[in-house]
Amino acid sequence: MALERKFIEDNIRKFEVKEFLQRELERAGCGEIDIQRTPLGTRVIVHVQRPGLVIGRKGQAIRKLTTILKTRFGLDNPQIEVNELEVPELNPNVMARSIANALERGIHFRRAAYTALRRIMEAGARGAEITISGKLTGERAKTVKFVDGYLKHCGEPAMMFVKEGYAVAAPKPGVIGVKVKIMPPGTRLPDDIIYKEQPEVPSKGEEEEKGEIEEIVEQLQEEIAEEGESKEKVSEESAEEKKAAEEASSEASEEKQPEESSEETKEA
Amino acid sequence: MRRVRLVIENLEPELSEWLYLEYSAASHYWGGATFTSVPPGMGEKLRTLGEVYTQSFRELFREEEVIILDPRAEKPLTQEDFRKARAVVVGGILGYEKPRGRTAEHITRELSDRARHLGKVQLSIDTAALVARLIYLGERLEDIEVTHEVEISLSENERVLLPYGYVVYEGKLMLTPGLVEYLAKGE
Repeated sequence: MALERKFIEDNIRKFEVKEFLQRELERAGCGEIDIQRTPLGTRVIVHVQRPGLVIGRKGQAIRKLTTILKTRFGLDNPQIEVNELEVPELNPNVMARSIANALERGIHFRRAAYTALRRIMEAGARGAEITISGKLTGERAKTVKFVDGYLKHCGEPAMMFVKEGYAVAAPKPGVIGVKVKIMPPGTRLPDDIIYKEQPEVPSKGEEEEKGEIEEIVEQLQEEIAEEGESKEKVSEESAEEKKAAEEASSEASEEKQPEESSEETKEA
Repeated sequence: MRRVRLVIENLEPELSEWLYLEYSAASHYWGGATFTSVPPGMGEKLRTLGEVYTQSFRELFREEEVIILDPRAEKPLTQEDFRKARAVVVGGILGYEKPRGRTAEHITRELSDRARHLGKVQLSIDTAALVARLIYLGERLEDIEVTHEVEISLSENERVLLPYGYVVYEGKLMLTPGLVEYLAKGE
């Protein structure tokens, strides 16, 4: 068998197993299913709201599931591990299923959606989006989106941090699809900026602070006084220089005048 | 050109508020409409919008006098089609997100050569009536701008996405009058 075909077949089988388990464990509040191949066989990790329902009395239910996985799906030595979901409100599959159940019971779509949205946000999610699509009030089909908080819709952050869940409700007017997207608490996005806190400077006593202020004031006063003196000196020096320059210019003009008069006499 | 009337072949068992809003808008665009295949309980309210018949349009018009608007038809609607027609028939169905071809199944099954389409997008009843009216008045189908879907924001947390085509005429979205208020009620 070609290698590519083997990969495809393995993945198809994985998907079938997931679909089967999700259907079987619906009552137990199935959140996520991980299938891992180990040297000892296949490990199936099931995250559920009520693990007791998966295990059953004296492990009867889990044994039955293991046999089905072995016989029907041909899994090699399957080992089912059951984990309890710590916060089921933050699992999109569980929330989508709970909304779908509410719609099947005849609860108004808006009420079901807002209740679920509030529960998700109260569990600490950064953001959530619930999309309900179909003939919601028995007329035209429409899609209604309920959003709260902050949610990434595209790019790598959306693929990495946003968890998606899907469930189908089947009330009388027609099938309704429920999609839930949750961005869990503590998600650190690439554009989140965290400011470093500045180290605190130890505070001084009031008297010390007063003394310092007085010193600074005195220093300033001295500087101002020194500046004033230097300005006066500068003005005196400049005045003397001006006087000297004036005297020099007057002397020069006196010397010129007799020369001019002697020239005049020559012409005459 | 001959005067053509709008015929709405009702296929819904009940007259819901949304259906009434669309019938009302369609009737407004054509200055009145003829409602056919109307069950007895539904007729009273529809009489305010136009003529009401319990019979199907097949009993009221000859085959060659009608044009049926069906998204699955092979030919597009043109102004030329109205020259010999007396009525343009629209299926009175509130659709699913993905069209199931109920107009073809219930209306055009035996009259497939009289069927015309209005593009690939699924239109609401009133939008189909409006597009047909614009073509009747001389516009070409390819020149009429139609949206693929419309998203209406009802509040800060809630948005409704309608997967139907609506006409954008002179930059204005021709949404069914009263629909936003109805959706906001969420009944």
